[in-house]
Amino acid sequence: MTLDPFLASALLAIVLAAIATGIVGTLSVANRMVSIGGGLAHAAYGGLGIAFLLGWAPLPVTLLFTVLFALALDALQERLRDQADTLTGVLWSLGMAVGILAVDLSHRTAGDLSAILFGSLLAIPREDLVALAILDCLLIPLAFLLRRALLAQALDPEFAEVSGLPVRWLKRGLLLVVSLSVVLLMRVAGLVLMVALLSIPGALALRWSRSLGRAMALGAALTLVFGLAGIALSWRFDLSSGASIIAVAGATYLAVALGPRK
Amino acid sequence: MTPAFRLEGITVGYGEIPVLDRASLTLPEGGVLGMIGPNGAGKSTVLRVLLGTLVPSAGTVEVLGTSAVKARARIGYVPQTHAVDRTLPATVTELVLSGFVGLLPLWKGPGREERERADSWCAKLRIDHLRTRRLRELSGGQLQLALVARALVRDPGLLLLDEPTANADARAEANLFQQLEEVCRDRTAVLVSHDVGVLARHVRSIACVGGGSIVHHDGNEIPADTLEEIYGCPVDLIAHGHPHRVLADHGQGHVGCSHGPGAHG
Repeated sequence: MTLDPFLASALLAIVLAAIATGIVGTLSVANRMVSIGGGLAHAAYGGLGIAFLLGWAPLPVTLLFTVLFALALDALQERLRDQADTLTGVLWSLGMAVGILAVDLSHRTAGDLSAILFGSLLAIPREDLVALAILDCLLIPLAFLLRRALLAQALDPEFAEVSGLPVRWLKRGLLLVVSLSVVLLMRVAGLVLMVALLSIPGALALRWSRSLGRAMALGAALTLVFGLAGIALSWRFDLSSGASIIAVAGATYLAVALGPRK
Repeated sequence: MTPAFRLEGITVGYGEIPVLDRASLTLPEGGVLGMIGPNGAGKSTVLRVLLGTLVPSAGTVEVLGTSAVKARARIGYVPQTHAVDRTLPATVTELVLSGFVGLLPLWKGPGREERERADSWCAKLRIDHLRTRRLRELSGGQLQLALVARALVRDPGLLLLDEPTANADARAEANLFQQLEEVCRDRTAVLVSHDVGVLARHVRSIACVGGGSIVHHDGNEIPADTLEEIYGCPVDLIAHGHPHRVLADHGQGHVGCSHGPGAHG
């Protein structure tokens, strides 16, 4: 029996996505950056719209746009510290608005973009798989080397700062990897649903693990389980793959959160 | 002799309103300084100035003979327990070892020497039996001692403690002060607390923060008129049998309670 090539690509994509999500999602939850991740995922649509308008390759334009957006968010949050949450919300919508306006100005229908907005795991292009593999190769050694510093920062940011840890640079680094991840994972979960992928496996893993390193590994394993279950549902019942994955993950999270406490 | 720190005419605040206005305080090396004052008086602000995270708009700050930022490597900071995210998967050992951040390269973990130092402080503070416990499994008093151990592994010349007994019961509080007396024999410490009575028993001198200024009393007896001035209410010192004394007010809220002979009365 040969595996359907679409299904094979989807399975490979979910394995690669699980590694990135396990690391970045766990760190996002630990550092209370989930809403920022959601904001960046939506802001990425701005880059996508601009690429669509100009007829350029979507991946590099969206990557550049999202990274610049993340750096702008960081600078503005530093300047307007008491309005950090509002700023995230404003930039979240602004990025989407830029994308919608760019698509309007192109005077073309944006049918292709729905795959990116809501995910299309079964039609993931080869270059996206290569980019995801490169991201994983960067994330694994970085997370391993910096795990202690990242834990210290997440545990007590004020102590970490006054003890001489470069917390500003670590936060910028995290923003950068969140930006890269949301763009490279957009076909897996979809930009609109991305925030669930960045929060649910990480939140469950942090709850069940005894160390940050183990939480990242468990986060990856959980994403893999949710992804495989979602693909199975999607394949069997002809459903949207991204929404199927998030439905499985969301139901698991609610069952755990509302279930009996240890 | 170089003072542990010197604040000279500092004006500092948040936004337009200064919390401290041309306030000064110089602390000689050695011993524990207690810092008291009502909510919002500026106790934590003084700690932030000493840590270099808040820069005064006027005045001079010198910590351990240098600027506050340069002195950070020699400062041990013990925040309030709520500063720590106890939901994260970390053990007491990992929390204590996180005290080495900034002293080691970013990518380098603690080696044998650092682990031995962490174990040694856990033993001295009598929390060595908790080393494998997760933070969420600790009581407030146990977490406080773990935070003290995290600060002490840095071998600091100046220890800053922000409300260390806020979440501790009477037994944990007594244990904490017993351990602090040991560790502060050869270092300087600043201890912020709301509890005037507890401070009076355990410190060498007291700084009263309020009304934009700092009044330093060399000794652990606090004149009632100073307390009335900084808390903005009349204060009586009431004895409940020797040596227990209670410091009470005339209707605007409880000021503090002394369990020993230190309070002025």
